[in-house]
Amino acid sequence: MKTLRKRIFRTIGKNKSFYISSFLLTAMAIMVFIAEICAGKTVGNNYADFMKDSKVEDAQFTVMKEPSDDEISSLESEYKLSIEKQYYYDAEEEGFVLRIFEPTEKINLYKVTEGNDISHEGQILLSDNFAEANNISVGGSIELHGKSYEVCGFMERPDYLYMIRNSGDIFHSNDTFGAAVMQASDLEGLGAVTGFYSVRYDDDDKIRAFREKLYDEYTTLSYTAAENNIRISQPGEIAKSCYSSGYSMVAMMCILVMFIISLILGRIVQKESKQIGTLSAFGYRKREIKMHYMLYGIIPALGGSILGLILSVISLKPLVKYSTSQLEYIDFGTQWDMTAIVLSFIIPLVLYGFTAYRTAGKLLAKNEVAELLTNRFDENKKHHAGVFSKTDKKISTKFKLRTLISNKKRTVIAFIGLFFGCVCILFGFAMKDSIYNFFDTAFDEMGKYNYQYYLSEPRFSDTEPVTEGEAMNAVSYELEESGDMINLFGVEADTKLIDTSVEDGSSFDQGKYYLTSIAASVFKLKEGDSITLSNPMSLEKQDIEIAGIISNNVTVGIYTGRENLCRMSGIENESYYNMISSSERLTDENDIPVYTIISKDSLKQQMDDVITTLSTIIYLVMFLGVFICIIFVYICINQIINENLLNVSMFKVLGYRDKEINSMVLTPYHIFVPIVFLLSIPASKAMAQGMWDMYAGMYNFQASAILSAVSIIIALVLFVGSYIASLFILRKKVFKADMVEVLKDNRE
Amino acid sequence: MYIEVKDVVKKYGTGSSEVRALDNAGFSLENGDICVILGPSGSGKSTLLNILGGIDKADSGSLVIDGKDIAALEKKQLVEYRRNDVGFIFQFYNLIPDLNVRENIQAVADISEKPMDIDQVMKELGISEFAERFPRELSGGQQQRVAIARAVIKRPKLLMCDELTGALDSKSSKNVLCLIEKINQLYNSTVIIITHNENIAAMADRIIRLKDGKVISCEQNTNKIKAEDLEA
Repeated sequence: MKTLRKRIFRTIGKNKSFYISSFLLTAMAIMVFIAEICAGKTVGNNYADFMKDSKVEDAQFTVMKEPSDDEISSLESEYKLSIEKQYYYDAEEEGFVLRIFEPTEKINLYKVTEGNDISHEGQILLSDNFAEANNISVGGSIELHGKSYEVCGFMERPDYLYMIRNSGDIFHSNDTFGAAVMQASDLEGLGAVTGFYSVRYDDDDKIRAFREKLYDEYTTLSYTAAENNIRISQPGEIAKSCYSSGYSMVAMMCILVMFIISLILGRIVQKESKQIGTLSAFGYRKREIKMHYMLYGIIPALGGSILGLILSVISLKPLVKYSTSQLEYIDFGTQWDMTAIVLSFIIPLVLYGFTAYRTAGKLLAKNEVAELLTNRFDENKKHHAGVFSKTDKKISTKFKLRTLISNKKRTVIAFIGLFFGCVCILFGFAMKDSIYNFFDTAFDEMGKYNYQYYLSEPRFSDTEPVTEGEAMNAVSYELEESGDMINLFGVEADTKLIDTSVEDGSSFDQGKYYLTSIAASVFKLKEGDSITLSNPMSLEKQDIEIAGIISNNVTVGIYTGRENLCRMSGIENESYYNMISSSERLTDENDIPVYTIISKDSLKQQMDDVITTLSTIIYLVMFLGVFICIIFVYICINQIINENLLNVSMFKVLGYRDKEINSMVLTPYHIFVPIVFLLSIPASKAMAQGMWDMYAGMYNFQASAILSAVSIIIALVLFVGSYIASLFILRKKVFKADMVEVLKDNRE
Repeated sequence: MYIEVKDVVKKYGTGSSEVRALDNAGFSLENGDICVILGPSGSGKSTLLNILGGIDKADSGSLVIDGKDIAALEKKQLVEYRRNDVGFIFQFYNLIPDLNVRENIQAVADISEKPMDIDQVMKELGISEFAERFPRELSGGQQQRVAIARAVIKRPKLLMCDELTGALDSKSSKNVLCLIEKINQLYNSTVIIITHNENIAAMADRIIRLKDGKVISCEQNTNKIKAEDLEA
């Protein structure tokens, strides 16, 4: 067997192009697989570790009656928790807003990532991404309200890893919003600060009791658990999406690539039938022969896996950085997922090694040695022998049809490859069309308002009526079943600014509850569903029924009448409001206690940023689709040409023109092109919709999958173009098939 | 002269490893001749046949066939030459395995300007009963007859036979040679047979001997006999 093994490397040398490409393709597939899974693990663990070390809050709340320091100590010991009051100020400057905190001591501890901590007044620490986006370096300065502060370093807070200003924001932009830390005395000098309490629990059993006490004695105004705080939960979501992408789409691609390689490997071994017959004739046992041929598969598998692992070492860090481009970057080093690594070795070994082993075994099992020696076998051809022979079809047509059915596995793989590639191309277009359509329509669906003012203090319209705009109230509730938070919005009976058109055409009833379409998608609810809502402040439960769906793909919430919401929330004075919606900026803006202002323009700007980020991915996916089409067609047609090299030469000898020969060997898959394209349209739309449904939960917006006619035409051109490009490359191979050499090979 | 070959050279390799498969070969043939080219293994017989048949190109020299110098033809022109004027019969038949007997013959009929009737040809060659069978299901002799049918269906002016009987038993060999003779008589095709079997030379009009790429003799056969009278 030792002598026999020398053959392996010579055979590999003879099939250099196949082995090199399978080596590289396997390595690339493995690299992407490992990198994606390990990125998920790295992101998940890094951020989890950071949050643990930084003592991230378990929840934050605001109350109407401020507890004293003694009361806080008493609450901490009674309910086994830590509470820390935290203050911040939103410094608005030309082009950006900086949320500046004073240093924390017990909860949400910030970590200095570069430079030094603040040691005296006049110094400031900035969040990394904001500093980078604004070209501010350590040692530089930043001007806030006319005063210059020295940037002594950069920092990160565990509760601001996803840097959005308002919890309802879709996206963030590194250059327009960031976080900072400065001394308390400096902070007070900037303006009126906003306070909130952060809490960490040591005993989960006491949480409910604490919250009840909080409400009863201090009147909770707001309560947000960490898992419902997107600034804290987003890293976990991104980690999950890396895992899910790695184990689904990437894994599927890897297996497809490996499947096609094993198909070709099988044919290579099959071509060795004469050698297999000879070995058998000389007395080699079946098992010895099969084990020998198994090495033909093991070598590219092992080589590809090792190279893939090495490449993933190089690519992991950039992939982690890319995956966390929307987060504040925490560099704790990379982490490896052993399951992924083990799988990346096992799967190619099993696929390729087993294919080669099985092919050799099948040849030995199903054919006499004499048949193997004279190449007078071909089980596949027995099945299609005689098909179409009694018809009047032209020889070229019969040849094409028999090529299709003689190797069903190859035909299926060609179909799947074309389908997958076409779906990728159309998917890219669907994503692009959807997002532009969303941009054009979604904001109008929200209503005619352009600004929403969230008040920091409750107001009542019977004493302080709204003179510009419309009064609204908003209360966050917990969905009892899932623990997710959802906003309930109370609107005026005659609202002109909020679009309350119900999808089924019925009128908006102030006493009923209507879900927005994005909320329906995120929470998988529909008209008629009953849900239990828990007031996060009072912990009181309430059952409501969804009376209808309002078309709104930006606001995740439930709409009802303002007075109804007051009743539901236990607010006696039903003229209570804590929001104002307006079409123009309020003239008395500065006189109103505003917590934050959300404008449609800022949401549109965020959407623009989403489009920019997604565009790169979309074009990458389209390119991938083109590449997949070319590769799959190339591999399958190349195999057809290789199998028919003698026939091609004979046709040339017989006087067939190149065009006629090309028509026979290069065109068997033409029929797939229109079929694949038609099937890919709904498939890509479904895939795009699935992607939007996933993004709805992560980024608070819901687009609908759309494919415009123009996009379909362009995609068709790309798809057909890539198919033709592949055939064009192979034309040369047919052209180069040497009549003399191939005839010589047959002359033995 | 129908075929005039002058100073044809064909080389393989370069420098010290250069091999002259044909070394200034030259001869001439009349229209309708049966020509047998004899020579030991490596003498250049197959190379000469391939060049005459338009499936290989000479490095220098001229090959005028029916007034056309095929050495000067471009690739596309050679395709037309093979398509219209040449029929090949190979030692190992080279039938297309994915096509049955009828289809193998039809594959050539489809591209011919005036092909003969397939059924008629199959009947002449005694292969009608195998029409629906595939090559792997036939014996060597049967396959060779199919190969002959395929070669003659287009009424070729030139029939190139490469070791026609090399893979056949003596009885089949004789049958095949008789068929070739019949075709030569019926259609006036010029037949070139390359072989190392001296006995076959007896049926030829002209005998050409090759050695080390050179034509060492080109003579009229004054003792021509019928194929059926050839020694086994």
